[in-house]
Amino acid sequence: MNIIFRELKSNLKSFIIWILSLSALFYVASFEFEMFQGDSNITEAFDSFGFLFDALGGVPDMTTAVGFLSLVSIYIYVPLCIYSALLGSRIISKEEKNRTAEYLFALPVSRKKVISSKLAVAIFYTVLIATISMIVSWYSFGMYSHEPVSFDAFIINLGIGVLLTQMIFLSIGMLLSSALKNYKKSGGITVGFVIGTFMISMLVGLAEKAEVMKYITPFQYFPAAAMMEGNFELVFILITIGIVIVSFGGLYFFYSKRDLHI
Amino acid sequence: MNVYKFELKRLKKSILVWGLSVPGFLLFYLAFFPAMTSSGDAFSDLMQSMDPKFLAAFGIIPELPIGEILGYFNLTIGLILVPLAIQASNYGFHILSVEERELTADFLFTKPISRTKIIVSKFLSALTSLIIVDLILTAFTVIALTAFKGDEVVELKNVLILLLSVPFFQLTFMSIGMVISVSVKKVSSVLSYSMALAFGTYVVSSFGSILSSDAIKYITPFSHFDSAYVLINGHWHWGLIWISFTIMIVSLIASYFLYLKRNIASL
Repeated sequence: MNIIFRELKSNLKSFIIWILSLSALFYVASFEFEMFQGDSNITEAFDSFGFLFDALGGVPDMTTAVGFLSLVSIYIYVPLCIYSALLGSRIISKEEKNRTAEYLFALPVSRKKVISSKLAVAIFYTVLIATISMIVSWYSFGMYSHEPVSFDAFIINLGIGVLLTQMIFLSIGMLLSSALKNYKKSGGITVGFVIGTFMISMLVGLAEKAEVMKYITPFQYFPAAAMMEGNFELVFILITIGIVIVSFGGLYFFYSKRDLHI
Repeated sequence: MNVYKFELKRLKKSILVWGLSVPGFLLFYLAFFPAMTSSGDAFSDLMQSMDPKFLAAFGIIPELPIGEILGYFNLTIGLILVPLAIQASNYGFHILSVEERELTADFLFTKPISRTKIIVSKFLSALTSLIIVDLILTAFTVIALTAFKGDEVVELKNVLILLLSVPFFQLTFMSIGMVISVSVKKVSSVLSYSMALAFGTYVVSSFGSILSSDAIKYITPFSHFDSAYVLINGHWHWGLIWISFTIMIVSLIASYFLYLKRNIASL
């Protein structure tokens, strides 16, 4: 338990900074959205061309809160995933970086126990940041929503989608920092992975031919457009569970025999 | 000169990774262009008749239709700027803080060279790395545009003017990184800082363009170096770019003086 409290405390500061800046961002965006929502030009364009956007395969009506949120949803997904990826890689490698590994592992606790405590804290903060971000978005955009029921359902689905995507990056970050020999590299590689998959995901949205690539970018597993209808595809859920289990298994496997840098 | 050479050697691997992956991504993106051109003629006619503010929210600019290579390139470069900004802020946060983090400050600062010389060498080596990556990017862009344009006639002049602004864009992020890294007590994790700076400003600018907000444009370098403006008008957006230049110059001067006076943590 001591390790859990210790980890909760040492990751609290960055958690607070992240959640405050994200909340501020969502709140300001909703503020700007209010002016935008009343823009008659856009509403008119949607009235006259709505059929066209439907035909194009679901460009959302961005003058509603649900449509707007799903349009900007990638900017909810990506920062939260960056947070989780960095958290996962840092929580494992920080003992070596801060030169506290020697101290920690001289204590009468097994490596497995240390890892389990760190894992619990990482999952706790990931769930917490997803929940709070969803509550903030629900509060700030909900004021402008005319269909409270479908909006609430959308927020819940979006929250689950975001959380599952975050778990993928969290587990990969933790795996990399336990498997890579050099503790300095894991953060960079993990973030490179997030940015790389983000850019592939934008390409999938842009070019139809890139459709097959949606399997390699977690940002396309639970896209906001599907979350609007609560449409979780089984294959992506299975891929997610697979990645998470393999990564966490690898974390225990590699960390138990890791040659710690002291 | 020794410090400069050493720093450049330290960044060698990073130059290699960034210099291959970012232009590689550009090539990869543009390679999808030929598959897209066939559909969308009727669509772009319809686009012309719509309200530009509405289209802007989807990243569509009537002068730069996505069915033409420059329109597609505009979207691509808008994304490519994200890793470039991350690279620049990485260097900015890294170069002045690394000695303290890795406990090599004692070694470096007992050498008979002034702090002025150290900061200038470090700055120049990082700048060299950025310029190398930008040169590779420029070469890749010209190659990719020529290869994938099909039978379109492309005016490369505006593209080159746009690419000329990329080093200044990166320099803005690097100088902000430098001034923050000498202002805080300790940079424990370069990545968290640089991701927050680069990705944060990117997200803000995306919100700004989706909402067509004028106020947001002033606060993020991504809007100051707006690629669409340069591709359409053939010159930089001076009305906004001066903000970035001011930030850059002020940050550089401030980091120089702060670094001279910095209480450097030692063993």
